[in-house]
Amino acid sequence: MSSAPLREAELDALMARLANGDRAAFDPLYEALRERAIRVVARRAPSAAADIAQSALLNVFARASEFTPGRPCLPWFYAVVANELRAASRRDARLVSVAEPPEVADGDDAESLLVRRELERALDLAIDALDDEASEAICALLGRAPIPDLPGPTFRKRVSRAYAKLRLLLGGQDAH
Amino acid sequence: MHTELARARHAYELGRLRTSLVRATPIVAAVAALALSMDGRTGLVWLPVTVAVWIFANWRGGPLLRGTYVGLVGGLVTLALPLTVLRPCCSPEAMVEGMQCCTQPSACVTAGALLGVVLAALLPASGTRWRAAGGTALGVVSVAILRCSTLFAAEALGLVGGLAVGMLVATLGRSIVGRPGVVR
Repeated sequence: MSSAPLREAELDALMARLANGDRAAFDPLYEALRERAIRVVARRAPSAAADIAQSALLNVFARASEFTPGRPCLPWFYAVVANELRAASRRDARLVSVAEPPEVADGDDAESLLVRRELERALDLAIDALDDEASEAICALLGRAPIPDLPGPTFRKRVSRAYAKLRLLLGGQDAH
Repeated sequence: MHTELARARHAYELGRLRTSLVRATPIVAAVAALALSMDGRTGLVWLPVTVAVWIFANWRGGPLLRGTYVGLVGGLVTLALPLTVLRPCCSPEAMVEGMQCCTQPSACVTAGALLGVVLAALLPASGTRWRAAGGTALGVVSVAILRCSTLFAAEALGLVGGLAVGMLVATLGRSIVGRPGVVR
C-alpha cells in the first residue's frame, strides 16, 4: 500500500469506531493491522506468515465488538497475534514430534524453564513490534546490539521511551 | 486480498452478532419482567419482537443503537400510560356519566403522537439524525408492543402509528429548520 502507516492514536480511534458499529472504519483498520501482523509474524515464522497473520486478523475482527473504546488498540492486537503464533508453534510441535527436548540445567526445573522461554518469546515479539529506534535502544540495553553512537542523554531518553512502549506492548497500564 | 478482507468482514459481523445476543439479554429480561408484572403471561405474547429489535440494534450499533436506548425510555412511558388515558370513555368519570366503554383509537393516536414529538426533540441534530430516529422508533416499538395484548388492535395500531407520525413530523421539521440557509 502506498498510503502512510497509521499512527497509534488513529488506530485507537478506528478500533473504537468499529467497536461501536461504524463499518466505514473497517477497511482502513484492516489494511493497517494486516501490514503490522504480517511484519511481526514474518520475523517469527517466515514460511507461514500470511496464513498465521490472516488467522490472527480473523480473531481480532471477530472480537472487535468487545474492544473497549478509549483503551489502546495495539497491545490488545499484538496479544492476539502472539496467541496465534503460540498456537501455530504448538501445532507445528505436534506435527514434528522428534523435536529436541530442552536442556534443563542443574537447579532449574522444567516448568520454570518453559515459563522463562515463554517470557523470552513474548519479549522478542514485543521488541519486533517496536519501531527501529526503540528496538535498537532496547537491544543495546539487553546487550544484543552495540550501543548506538549517540550523546548519553539522547540515548537515555530513547531507552526511556522505548521502555514505556515495551511496557504498553507487554500489557502494562500506561506509556508515559 | 479481497477474499481475506471478505473473510475478516464476515468474522466481524458474526462476532458482532454474538456480542449483540449477550448485550440484548439483560434489557429483554428487564422488559419481560416488567410486562409480566403488569399484564401477566399475556404481556409476553409480543416478546419475540422485543428480542429481535434489541439483537438487531446491538448488531448495527452506532446512532441506531443510541436511538434505541432513547426509544426504550419512550416505550416505558407508553407502558406506564393508564388505560384511562388511552381509553378515556372507560374512565370512572365517563362511566358515571353513562358513557359506554368503547375502543378509542384517536386517544391512542394523540398520546402516541405527543410522545413521538417529545422523543424527536431528544435526537441529535447531526447527519445521523435519521438513523437515530429509526432506532428510537424501534426502541419504542420494542416496549410499547407489549401493551398491545391489553389494547384492541385499532388502539395498538393507533398508539404505534401516532408515535411514528409524531416522530416523523418533528424530525422532518427539525431537519428543515436546521438546514443551512434557513433563517432561524
